[in-house]
This record gives sequence, structure tokens and C-alpha cells, in this order.
Amino acid sequence: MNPHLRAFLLPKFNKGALIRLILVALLAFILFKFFLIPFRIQGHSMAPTYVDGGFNFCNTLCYTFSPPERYDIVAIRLAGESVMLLKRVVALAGETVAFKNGALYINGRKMEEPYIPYAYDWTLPPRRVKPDHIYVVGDNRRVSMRTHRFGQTHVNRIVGAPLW
Amino acid sequence: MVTSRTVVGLIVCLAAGLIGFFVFYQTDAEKIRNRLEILAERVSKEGTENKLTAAANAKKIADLFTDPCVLKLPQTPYETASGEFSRQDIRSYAMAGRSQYQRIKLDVYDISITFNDRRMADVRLTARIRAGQDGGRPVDEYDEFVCRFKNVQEQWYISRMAAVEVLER
Repeated sequence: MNPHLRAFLLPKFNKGALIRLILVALLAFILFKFFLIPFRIQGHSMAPTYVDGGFNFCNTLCYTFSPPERYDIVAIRLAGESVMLLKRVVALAGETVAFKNGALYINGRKMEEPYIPYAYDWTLPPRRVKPDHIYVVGDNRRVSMRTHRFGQTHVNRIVGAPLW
Repeated sequence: MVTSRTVVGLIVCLAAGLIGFFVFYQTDAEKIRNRLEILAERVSKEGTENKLTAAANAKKIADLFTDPCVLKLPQTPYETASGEFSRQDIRSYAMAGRSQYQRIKLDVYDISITFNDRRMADVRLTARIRAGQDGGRPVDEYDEFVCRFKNVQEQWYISRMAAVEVLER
């Protein structure tokens, strides 16, 4: 092995190397604890966009300077960040959302949803999204509307967005 | 010589006392966390139980609640799981609910505790329940809960437990 590469990958264990090791560990801890929270997808709520068993990171800085927009996918916390819901934003504060025979309507206008490649049969009467709230739905509309978790939630529950 | 031995002995006793205090002393927050761990343990099961064991476990679950207590749980096959319940009611519901599945695992996450006073605390947490039976469809549900704990004779009991509607249709 090239001696420079060897010295970089396997440095002598001296005081400098120990400090570097501690710094890297500290930075990794801060990065993955607060800014890129690793998570595993469990369930089929966001299929086919995100499938059961997938791995991703939640980018918590995503909405630091701008609020979430329609069609963004967001991670929503429950009591903390150990369990989060991954959903797609379909309506913003003040808008009226409804489903009619398998189509999404925002403010009475039918919306295109290119991420859902099949027909479904949901129907939900119109309702207004409260101030400081967003309306989120999973991409998996094959499941019965009764068993699917969706609805409006306060924006302060948004932890971030998946990295990819 | 005797004096220095006495001093050393006293120091050792004091150190042991301090270590014992820090190891065994539980703050009220730790006691509440401990109660939630006990609840998770008692709800969980691995394999089928005989009726006597099931009844004993259901009683142990009910013993963690005040009598009566207020529950507002997510909609379940037992749709009446909202309102005021006696320990006997909780025992019956726990027995009926647990008997539906062969395996149950309850996990509690992100516990935050706020003390209103020395005898009352509000607790927010996420609970995840996984249940299954051979040939049946597995259950994997998670919800946020707010609970009120009351201290009765130095024991913390759940006096109120309500599911939070995170996504409101």
C-alpha cells in the first residue's frame, strides 16, 4: 500500500490521532443525532414511493428557511423522533381538501398526482386546513381510506424531509 | 492506630452508603418511567397463556391504574374503550384484548414528564404495539398518548390516558 495512503487510513496511534478520532466521533454524533436522523421505513403507507424496509435520513434543516410546499414528503413526529410518520403534503393552510371518486381536489380544483400510477376509489367531503397546519396523505391509496392514516397536522410536528 | 482504622472504616461505610443511595434511590421521574416499563412488560407476551396466567396478568395490568381512571384510546374492535373505567373493567378489557393474539409486544418511546405538583404528573409518550397470531394478520400500531399519573401512598398510578390525534381528518 502507498505509504501516504497507509498513514492516512491507519495513522500511528498518537495524541494527534486520538484527538482527530474524538473530533470525528463527535461530529458524526452531532450530524446524525440532530441534522441527518437515520430511519428505517416500516409499513406500506408511502408505497410505491417508499417501500417497507427502506433506509433513509431525515434532513432536519430542509425547512429552516422555507415552509413545506405541496407534494413535498415530510417526516412527522409523534411524541418524539423515535417514531415518525412519512407522508406527502397535499394541501396547505387555508386550502380546502377533498377526495372525489379517487381524485384529489384542492379548493375545488382537480389535482394531478403523477406519483400514484393507478386508480383508487377514495371519497372524502371537503374540509379546510387550519392556520399553521398542513394536510398530509400517504401515497398508498390502494388501501382502504378507513385504515390509512392521513389528515392535517400542525407544522411544528414536521421534523424534516427524507434525504432521497 | 485504632483511630485511623476507625476513620478508614467510617469513610468506607460512608462511600458504601453514598453508592447505595445513588444506585437504589429513584427520583419520581424514574419511578414513573419504571411504571411504564412494567406496563409494557405486563402487556407483552410470548406465546399462548393459560386462562389462570392470563387472568393474573390482566389483574397486574389493572393494578397500574387508579380506580376509576379515564381512558380515551384509539378506536379498536372494543369501541367502548373511551370513558371512565374501574380496575375491574380494565382487567376484563386487558384479558379480552390480550387473548386475541398469541404474541404481543408493547414498546414505549420518547417519554417526557412534567410534574404539576408532588402528587401529579403529566406524561407524553409514543406507544407502539405489535401483535400477531399464527395464520392471522399482524398488527403494528403506534400512537402518541398523554397520561396523567397520580401518586397514591408513594406509588404512581395512571389516572388518565388519552390518545393524541396527530393527523386530524
